[in-house]
This record gives sequence, structure tokens and C-alpha cells, in this order.
Amino acid sequence: MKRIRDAVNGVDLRRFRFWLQLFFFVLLVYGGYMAVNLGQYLPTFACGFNDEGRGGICYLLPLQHQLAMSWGTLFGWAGLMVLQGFLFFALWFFVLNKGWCGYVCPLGTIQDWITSLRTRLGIRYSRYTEGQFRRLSLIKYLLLALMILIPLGIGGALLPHDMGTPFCDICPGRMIIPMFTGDFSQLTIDFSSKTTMVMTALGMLVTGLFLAGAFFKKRFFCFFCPMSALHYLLSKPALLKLKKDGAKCTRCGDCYRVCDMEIREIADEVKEPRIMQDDCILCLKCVAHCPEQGALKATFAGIPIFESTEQGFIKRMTKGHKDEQHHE
Amino acid sequence: MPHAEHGTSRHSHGGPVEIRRGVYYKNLWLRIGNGPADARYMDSAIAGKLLLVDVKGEVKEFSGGNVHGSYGVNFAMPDEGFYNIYLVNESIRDGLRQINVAKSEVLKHSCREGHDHVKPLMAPRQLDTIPLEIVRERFPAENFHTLFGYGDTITFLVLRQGVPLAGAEVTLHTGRGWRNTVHTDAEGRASFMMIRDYYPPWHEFERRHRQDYVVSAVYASDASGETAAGRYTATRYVSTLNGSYYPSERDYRSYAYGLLLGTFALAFTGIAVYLYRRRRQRRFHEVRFDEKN
Repeated sequence: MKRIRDAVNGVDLRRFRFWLQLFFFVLLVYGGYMAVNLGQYLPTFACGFNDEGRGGICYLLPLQHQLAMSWGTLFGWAGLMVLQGFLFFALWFFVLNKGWCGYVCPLGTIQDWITSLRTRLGIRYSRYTEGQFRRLSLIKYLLLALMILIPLGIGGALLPHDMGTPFCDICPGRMIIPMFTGDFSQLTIDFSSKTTMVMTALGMLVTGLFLAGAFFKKRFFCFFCPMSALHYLLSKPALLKLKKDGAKCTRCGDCYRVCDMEIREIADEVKEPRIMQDDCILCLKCVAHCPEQGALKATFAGIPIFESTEQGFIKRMTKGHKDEQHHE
Repeated sequence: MPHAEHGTSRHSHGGPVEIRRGVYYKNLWLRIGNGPADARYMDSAIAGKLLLVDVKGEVKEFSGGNVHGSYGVNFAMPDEGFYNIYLVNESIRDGLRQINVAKSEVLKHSCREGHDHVKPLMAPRQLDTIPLEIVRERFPAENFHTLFGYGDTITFLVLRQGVPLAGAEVTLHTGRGWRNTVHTDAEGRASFMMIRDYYPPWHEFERRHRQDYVVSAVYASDASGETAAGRYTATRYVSTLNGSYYPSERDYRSYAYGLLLGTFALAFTGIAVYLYRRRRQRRFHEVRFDEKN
């Protein structure tokens, strides 16, 4: 058992994550061609606009559709259907918690690939100042609120029906993910009404911003993702958790430096064992880069599945050097 | 020519419906004329046999009546899928037997029922007892949400008692009165490319603007015979099927503007980051102090 645990704790997380992300990317973007259908309540950006290839549908699409029903219907028997959808979404989510972002989300994977491209080109990445970080972190809650309120406004005949899926209209996933199956039809401006014209124009602007932003800033879009905000509101009872033993932390700051989301608390917080913040994507890079035995750990249903160890840290840190020596 | 827009309470995929105790009901009215542009609603009943083929393929005979002021039918659609309604009318005058078949294919779909069950329900159905029937063939990836637009080619299969009929005259009538007539090929098929038939001012454009069409098939037979209504020396069959199509996405979607905006945002952000980084670069600047000062 100890050998298995040592092997897991010493895993090359970067490689493991790359292959797992690739697997989920193929499953969710091309799964439809292999008759995979994981339903329409997935807590990740499996874009519903990827008509033929999708292996499931992001929950935000049906949620917005459902909330745009007339109030009489929504607050009647159909409300039960909305609750049922939310329950399915929550059940999916409870399994992986925000690991859906770090390991499953196709849009997150695309951002990681763009980051790899930048790294290979030798261009340095950008970071936010603490003030910028605090302010930008709030945008996802604003988007979440708008994503719920706008469809509700449509249901009450207060807003035009053309805004039925407001977040999908501006989500870069709508434009980018279908392109992987050869569908470029979302790269258009819809002139059929003023509302659709504005929303699709915003969508294209956000897409351009996404591509450039993800190039300079790791996981650029995840700061603004309303799905991430929705995740955080449900994350406490989830099975997969990130924990910190503050007594073992030396505050070396390695975890903060490797964090794609620049979460400062991961290094600074030494009192609260439940360290996961709203921006966390549970990529577990912090655990992999922590040299202190058991200071950071990922647990599933209370059972530690991956924890920081000195041996694992040394193994991962010296891997490249060993290869270089070997080549020499 | 059945028509499905005439006093409604709810809208589902497949057109407006009434919902009573959770069950969808459809109203269809009979219109008579030379096409959607000038057809009129019927005030009184027309002699003939009304048949309903439900999603499971069960055939029911039923009767029409006064539906919101005009002659029509009202029927329940408890299951998801296509319902076929036929009105078969037969008469003999001056030895000519005239058989008219009005068919309507009505879809019942609510997204609340999900979309996993759609594929097996898509195939068109036919009724072999119908003297002359038009069946709209499906597009390869058609589903309950598929809308036809200008430029799409729709293919119809004309069947005589369930058997493909070659050489039948098939005419497509659009909502504004445009017509096109072709003849069925050896396999009983006739195809039409839908033309643009909607020219509103830009600010009034509706991408979900529904345009009706009616397709009719005519076939004549010299066979003589006798029915309860009398003797005849020739028979003329006329069959109609109604449908609708919508503005094409090509009419209101622009790749040029989309890519222009996307590229602008990409370039602007990239250049802004580059300039920001350059501005923050501080070159090494050596300051020498002269000890004499």
C-alpha cells in the first residue's frame, strides 16, 4: 500500500494532467461521433453549439433556456424540472468538485494548450497585481447574476427573447469549440435583430480577447467564468477536496508561484485546513510543487489520494535535469 | 390544405398548440384555394374521411367540426413525434372521378422531454391506403429543431397507394404566390430549391419569420369503374401537403464582420500587452557621482 501511495505521490502530474485533459477533450468535443452522450447537465463547458461532436452539454445552456420560460410556467410545475436539472448538475459536480475546471473543461484545456505554445515561444506570462486580482475575481459573480436575471427577465416579458442564452452568446466556447469539429458557423455576426447583433458582436470581441488573454495570462478566462462561481457556491459538500496543514507549511511560496490562478491564500493561509478558494481549478499543481510532507493534500471522501511529499517534489523537480544528464 | 395558425394559446416546436391537463392539442383548419396566398378558410364541413396516424403508427378515423369559427380538427398529441392527418374527399362528376387528399404532418416536441429519443422518431411515415400521398423526405441530420431556409432543397416522394409514382405533376406554391412545377422521377421523387420569399425592411426582419408553402401532386388515370357514387371513365387524383420554411442564415449572418471584430480584439489586446510591457521596461541607467562636487 505504501508503495502505491509513494508512486501516486511521486507522479509526474504535468504529464498525467495532459493526458487526462486530452481524454476529456476528445470525450466532450468528439464524443458525439462515438455515440457518447453524457446528458445536458455537465458542470463544464461541453459546448451545446458543437452540434455533432459534443459528448454532453454544458449545464449553463439548458439552465438559461429553462429560466427564460414564462413566469407562470417556471414558477408552476415546470419549476420542478428546473430543480431536477440542478440536482443532476450538482450530482455530477459533487464527484469532482472544481476538478471539472482543472481536468475536464475543454475551454480550460484549450487555454492550457495556448499557454504551452507561449512557453515554447519563450514569451513570459503576465500576472495581476493583488488589487487587480480582487476586482477581476468579482466579475464572474456579476456574470452569474446576469446569466440568471436576464433569462428571468425574458420569462417576464421584460427583455427581448433574442437574449435567451446571454452567457452563451458571449462565451468564447461557443465560437471556439465547434471549430474543432469543422463548424465555423459561430464566427459570425447575426444581423437579424439589434439584440442578436450586439450579443454576437460581443461574443466575437470576447473571443479575440480570450485568445490574446490566454496567450499572456494562464487560465485567463477562468477568472471570469460564471460556471466557476456556480461551482464555488456548491463546493463545500463535494467529495474531492484540497486541504492544507498549516503547521507543516514553511511559507516558501512555491504553491503560489505555480498556481495558474494566482491564489495567494494557498501560500499565506496557515489556519484554515480547507484551503480551496473560488478561483481554484483543483489542478493540484500546488500539491505537486510543495516540498513539505503532507502540507497540501487532495482528498476524496476524506481519503487522501494525492499529497505533497519531499520525495515526490524532488522526483518531479529533478526529472528534467536527469533527462539532460542522460542525454549528455 | 390544412393550416395551423388560427387562434392559439401556446407555442411548441411544430407550431402553436393548446395544452389541457398537460396534454398538447393541435388545431388544424382546412383552407381551399390555389395556394397559401389566396386560400380561404371553410365555414362548413366538407364530405370526406379524416384519418389520424399517431406517433406509434396507429390509424384512427375521426371527425372535424367548428374550431374557433372555421371548419377544422382538434386532436391530442400525447407523445413526441410526427402526427399525420389526412382528409380524403371523393366525388364523381360527368364520369370523372375526383379524389382529393389533403395531408398535414404535425410535429409535437417540447425540449423539456429531452432530445435523446429524437432520432428513431424522425423517419417519415406513409399510409398505403391513401390513393395519392406526398411524403417529405428528411435531411441527413434532421432533428426536431431543423428549420429549412432559402437555398435548401426539399425532396418529396409521391406515392400511389404506397408505391412510388413516376411522372406525377408536382407543384410547389409559396406564401406569396410563386410556383414551380416539376415531374416525379422514376423513383417518385420531386425536388425544389426554396426561394427567398420575404423582403421586409431591415429593422423589421425576423429570422424566425415563418413562410408557408403547399406542395401539390396531380395524377390522372384512364381506368374506368364504378363506386357507390356512380360510374366513372377516368380518375383525377390531387394530393397536397403543407409545410413552412424560414429565412436562411446566409441572409443575416456575416462572417466578414465577425472575423473583423474578433481579429480586432485579438490584435488590440496583443498590441496593448506588448506596449504595456515595453513601457514598464526600465533600462539600466548608471549614475556617476563626481566626488569633487
